[in-house]
Amino acid sequence: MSTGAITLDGLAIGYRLSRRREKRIASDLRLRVDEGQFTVLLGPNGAGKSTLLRTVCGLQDPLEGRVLLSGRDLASLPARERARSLGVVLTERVDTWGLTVWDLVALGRAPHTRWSGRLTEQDRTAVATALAETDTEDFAGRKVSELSDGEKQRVLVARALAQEPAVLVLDEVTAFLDLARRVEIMQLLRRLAHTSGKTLLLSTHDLDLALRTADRLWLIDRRGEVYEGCPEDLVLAGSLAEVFRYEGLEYDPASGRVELNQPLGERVGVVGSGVPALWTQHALERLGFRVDREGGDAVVALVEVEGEEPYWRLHCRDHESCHSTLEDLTRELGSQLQTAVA
Amino acid sequence: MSEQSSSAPALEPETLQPRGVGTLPWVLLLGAVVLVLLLELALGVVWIPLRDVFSLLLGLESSVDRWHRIVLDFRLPRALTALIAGSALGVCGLLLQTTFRNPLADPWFFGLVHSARLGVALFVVISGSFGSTVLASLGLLSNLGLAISAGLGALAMTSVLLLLAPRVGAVTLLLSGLMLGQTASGLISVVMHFTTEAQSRAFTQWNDGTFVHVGFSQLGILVAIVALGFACSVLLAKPLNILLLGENYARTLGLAVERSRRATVAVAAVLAGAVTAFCGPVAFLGILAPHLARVLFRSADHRVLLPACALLGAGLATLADLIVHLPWSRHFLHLNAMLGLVGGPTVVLLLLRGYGSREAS
Repeated sequence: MSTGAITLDGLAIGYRLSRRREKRIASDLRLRVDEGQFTVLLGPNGAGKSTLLRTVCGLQDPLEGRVLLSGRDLASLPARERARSLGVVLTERVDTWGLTVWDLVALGRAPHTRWSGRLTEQDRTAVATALAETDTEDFAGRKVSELSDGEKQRVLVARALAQEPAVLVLDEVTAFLDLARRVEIMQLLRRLAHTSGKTLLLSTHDLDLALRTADRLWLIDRRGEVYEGCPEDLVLAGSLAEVFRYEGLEYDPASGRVELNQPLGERVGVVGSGVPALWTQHALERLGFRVDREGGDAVVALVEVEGEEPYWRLHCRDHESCHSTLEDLTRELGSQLQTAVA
Repeated sequence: MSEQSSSAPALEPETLQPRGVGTLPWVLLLGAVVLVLLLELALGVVWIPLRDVFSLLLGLESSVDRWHRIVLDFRLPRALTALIAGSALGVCGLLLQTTFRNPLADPWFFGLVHSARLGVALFVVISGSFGSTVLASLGLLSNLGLAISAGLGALAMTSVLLLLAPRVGAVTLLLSGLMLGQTASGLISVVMHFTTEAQSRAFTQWNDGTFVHVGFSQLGILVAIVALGFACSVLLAKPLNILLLGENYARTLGLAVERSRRATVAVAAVLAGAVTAFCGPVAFLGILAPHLARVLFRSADHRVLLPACALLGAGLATLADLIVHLPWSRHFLHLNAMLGLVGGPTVVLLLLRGYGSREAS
């Protein structure tokens, strides 16, 4: 058997409630992350992503099975050695009592330093490199408590990098960040995997971002089933739609989006082209209409989109009107259909 | 951001070596401690010129004969006790604050001091060694016994708090420590009920904290125990730094978290126990020193904070003792009252600034 950087060998995860009882989240996981790969663990909130990652980091004991790190059983690795090969970024808040960014990142060297924690030249270089790679050098002298969430997250990544591990495990690093920061962090991590050959396993519930960046996905659903593969294969196999079909949401492989799974309403034809027509369709779909871009016979209403500065012409049975905003248009459409019913 | 830009980034000198603490705060702090120490030796009911204090310390004669006795026999042991006890309590406070991740932690608030006194009370009753003599004339063995039983008492309290800590918040832990401390005080009264009158009189002598009653023989034991405690603290500096990140991160950095925590609170208990055994309950130094150290040195690194807390604790204790022993015409000031004047508002300030609402995990 060829060993990846991380191998789950018949792993069962969950919590032991008492000696006899346990809450099992997933069983018999046989998964792999290869060296230098950027793997994203994707699943809805509450599916057990954190539990799986905590087990992979050794923060939680598996109920059964083993986690192998470069072929060696995690449970039998000495703590210091484990720390040298596995770096972790967790969701928990770090309360740092006035620690500076540099000092925090330098704590990543702990598994490499001697009893006093004194840094050698090599340690300092590793810290500086980690700061440079995460683009956090500019605030190296600032206190961690003064940073924004995005900056703090990058500093925590830098701390894990300073550890110089072959494997990085990151739990929901993009949560609580705005879109730009999320993309930035994911780009950074992906670059790390591809340029420095580090093995990355990251969890997220952000489907869109995962699909755009991951080399491979581990897809976990609420029953503890895990599917693995390259993102596109999982989409085509319907696994993604399967996992995210819950609570009125539906993953649509055609649009690549999770849609509100509400019963589709009446057909409305949209005639026109370009960006305005696209957003007209968006607005109508958001309101629950089914959009027919051909403008066929079965429609209850027809919307013509015209001009560079778009305006909309609405045809609904006998009614005909012109609108300069989509808000006006949809309001009029709603009232026309209401009177038709009455 | 292209993914091909893999060339190693050029490293700035500042990112290789951050701006350190610098020597200025150390010089200032050390100077202040020395100054307070000299004043402690010079000032009192009898004012002795600094020139004479110096010559006495150097083993020379002073201009007035009885000053020899005042400075070397009365004030010097008191000053040294204040220095050592103060530094021990300052370090003890820092150890507790980091281990419990609780900025309000302090040997007095957390009940270590009271449980240490309970240990002493039990030792006194069981050994019956007090007799009618005052504390200063006790033999070496009894003194050691006092320190050990006080340390065991404090250790019992820290063990209880370690069990409570993961389940409660910072303020709840503080209140639990305070209340358990009161319980220990109550138990001391009960224990005292079973002693002879002479024993209980000797014991009530240090119901209040003071550095007055410690002679040179006890000072030796105190120095030995505190030195041992400091040596262990130095070994704990790295684990304490790692613990700043929280339990989970500490574990992923390869730290044996439980073992480090137990070792730290054991050292804290030994320090608090030794001081309490000889000086009685001394308040507030354990919470003041660490917070002042963080402000003064702008650092969270325990390799800086440990010596800083020792110096600050020593200086504060000596300063408070100095003020207590100034020739006041009407009042008799107590050491804890002086410390409370600064310590009380400081704790309230910390609470108002929201330190208490942090998680205690």
